[in-house]
Amino acid sequence: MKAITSPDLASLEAIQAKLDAELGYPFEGADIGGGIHAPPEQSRTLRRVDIIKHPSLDQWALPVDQGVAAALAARADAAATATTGGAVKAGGAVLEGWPAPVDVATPLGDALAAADLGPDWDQKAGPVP
Amino acid sequence: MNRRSGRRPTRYSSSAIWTPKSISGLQLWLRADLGITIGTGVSAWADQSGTGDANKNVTQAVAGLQPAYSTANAGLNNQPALSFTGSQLLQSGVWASALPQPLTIMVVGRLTTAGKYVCDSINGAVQCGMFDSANTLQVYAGVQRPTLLTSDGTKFVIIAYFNGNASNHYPMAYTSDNYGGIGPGTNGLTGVTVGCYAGGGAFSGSDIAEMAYWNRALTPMEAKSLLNYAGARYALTIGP
Repeated sequence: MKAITSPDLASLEAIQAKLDAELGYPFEGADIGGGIHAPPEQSRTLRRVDIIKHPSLDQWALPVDQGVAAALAARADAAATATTGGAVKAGGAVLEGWPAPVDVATPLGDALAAADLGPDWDQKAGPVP
Repeated sequence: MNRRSGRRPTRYSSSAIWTPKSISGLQLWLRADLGITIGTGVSAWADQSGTGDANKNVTQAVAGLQPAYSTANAGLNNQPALSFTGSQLLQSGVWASALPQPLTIMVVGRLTTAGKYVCDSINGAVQCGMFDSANTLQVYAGVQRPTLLTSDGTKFVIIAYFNGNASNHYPMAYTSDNYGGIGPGTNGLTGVTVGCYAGGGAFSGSDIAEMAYWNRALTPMEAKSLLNYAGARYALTIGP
């Protein structure tokens, strides 16, 4: 699984909020079939992916699935032709409007580079037979 | 018209359609043609048991974790089903009333890829459910016990009664098996996870069409009715 990793949860949450807004989240579900349906507050889709924490390190990861990758690519394409001032750089693309880096030593541009999560990120734990 | 009384004759219709809801003690009933809400995949699958506890609805607010929905699953007699392919899950809230043992779980589905938990509790430390181990469904409520699929390939209807060492199950057959008197543990549940281990991970590779939970043992006749219902609805071969 590819993901954007960072030791700074707040900046990943800011990125996630931006991505979700661009992808149209949250949105209401559509009831189909018969029977009793769950109320809207239970059936709403709130976000594309969940931020996950490293099992032992103080490190966080925003999974980059197809939906997130498409949003990143679209934003990079749009930014590539835009005239920007003081925008954040990410992977060579200028991403205007992204949240400012929280930590100068770990600029958002670096954090936006998605990489494969290693096996140490495996979330499986507990008494799984 | 009745010539003597002038009234229309009373019409006796056949009894209502038989479903798992016809068996008393039903605590949760999920069937894939009822109560489905689509987000990206299935964002909610609502309980049809009629107990009125909205925390029994199983939901998923994250698009990337929602199972896909099929209105006609070719492997389950073209009935609707939810597809779990290794990274999807639905989970209920905490039920208003816990469901301790004795309890009975019925699950109808099809194993599609290597995976683990078809269903579980919502507490990773107090598990109660079924998982797949190389196309062998096993029940688990603290102790691992095999529930062999005896026919029909990877399609299954399993009725598992959890009651400590008095537990038994109907593995695609009218004849129950008691695991040799060594049960799958004593855990009950306070909610349900569908598609993975209650603590996260150990995802399922399966299509799930129907699940039901009761707060008691089913009689052999009730189990037979349930097997007949599932066999007819999902074109499953039920053994002797």
